[in-house]
Amino acid sequence: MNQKLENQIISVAYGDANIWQKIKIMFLAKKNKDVAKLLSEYSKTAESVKKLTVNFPDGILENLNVQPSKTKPVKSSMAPAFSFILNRPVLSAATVTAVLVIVLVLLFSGRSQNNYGYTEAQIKLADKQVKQTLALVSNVFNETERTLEKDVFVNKVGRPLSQSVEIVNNLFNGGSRNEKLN
Amino acid sequence: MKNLIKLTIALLLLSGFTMFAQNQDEDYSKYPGYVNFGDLSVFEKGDEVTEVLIDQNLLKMVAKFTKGKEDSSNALSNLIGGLKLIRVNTFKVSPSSKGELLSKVKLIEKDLKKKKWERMVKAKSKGEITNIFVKTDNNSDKIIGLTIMSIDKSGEASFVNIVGNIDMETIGKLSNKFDIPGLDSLNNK
Repeated sequence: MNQKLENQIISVAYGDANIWQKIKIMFLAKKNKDVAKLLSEYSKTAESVKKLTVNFPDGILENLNVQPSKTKPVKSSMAPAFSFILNRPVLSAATVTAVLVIVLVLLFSGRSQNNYGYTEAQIKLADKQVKQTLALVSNVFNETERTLEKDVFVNKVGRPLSQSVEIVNNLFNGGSRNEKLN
Repeated sequence: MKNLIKLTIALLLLSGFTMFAQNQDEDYSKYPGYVNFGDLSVFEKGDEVTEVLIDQNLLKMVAKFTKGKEDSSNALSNLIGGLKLIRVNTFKVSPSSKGELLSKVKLIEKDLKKKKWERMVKAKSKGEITNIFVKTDNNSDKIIGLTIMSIDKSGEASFVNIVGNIDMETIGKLSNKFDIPGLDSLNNK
């Protein structure tokens, strides 16, 4: 028997061992007579030690200079409110229900309003207005293009240009006729 | 430690509220593509008045709403998703206040030129005027703002400002493909 095992037997006998050590020693005690004997002896000693009463001499406790701890106990300002609610089952159940209802309402209202607080009708109207605005922009550009092609190029540029060419042609034709005449 | 937790929660709540408030009331004047037309209500005559103001959040929602299986739907969705603000004012202007409105248009033109907007179109004939300005990004040459100011013969005035990434090619392609209702239906909202 080694020192480690003996220490474990002492711990079990004095009740300091954990559950696994207790099981291990009980198991060994059943198998090994020496272990069982040692455990029995230490258990008896432990029982007699527990029965001992300690009497301090008069005034020894008073003479002890114990400094009180400087750290103040932390007490939350919300503690009375929490204890008030938690000590009443009906109130705590009502609080949990109220919190659940608020969470559900917030979730569903957020979903129906599409996160930005707009209703489906508002989005549909905005969709229509956006398309109409884009159409307006497109129309202005198309109208400008049409004006440029039909009015500016044809009437303001093409016609004077063709008239000028015609005048030049006439001049040349007239000139050649004059040359022939000369 | 507990005080630290309380402070952190308070800061988180505060930042959450601030972000919410910012989203609700964003200052669009910080975007270079934004144009302030000022108060146009003084020129509006009769009931034929259309005011459209669609902000970034609503545009994002519309982009989601528009997204479909077709490529053209996705192109439109991407186009709308890139926009930050759409503002449209169309109204009938009375002949008496037409001159005043034209002066206002000239002032806005000057302001836009100062802010280095590029004029794409200026058409002026027989009582009609059309001005199209674009603002391009200095780094990428992308169009980040579009402004249209137009007054036709009948006195129909249109002021449009689109802020964000504007793909003119996609607008041109999609307007034909989607058969989007035009100017006439804009008034019948």
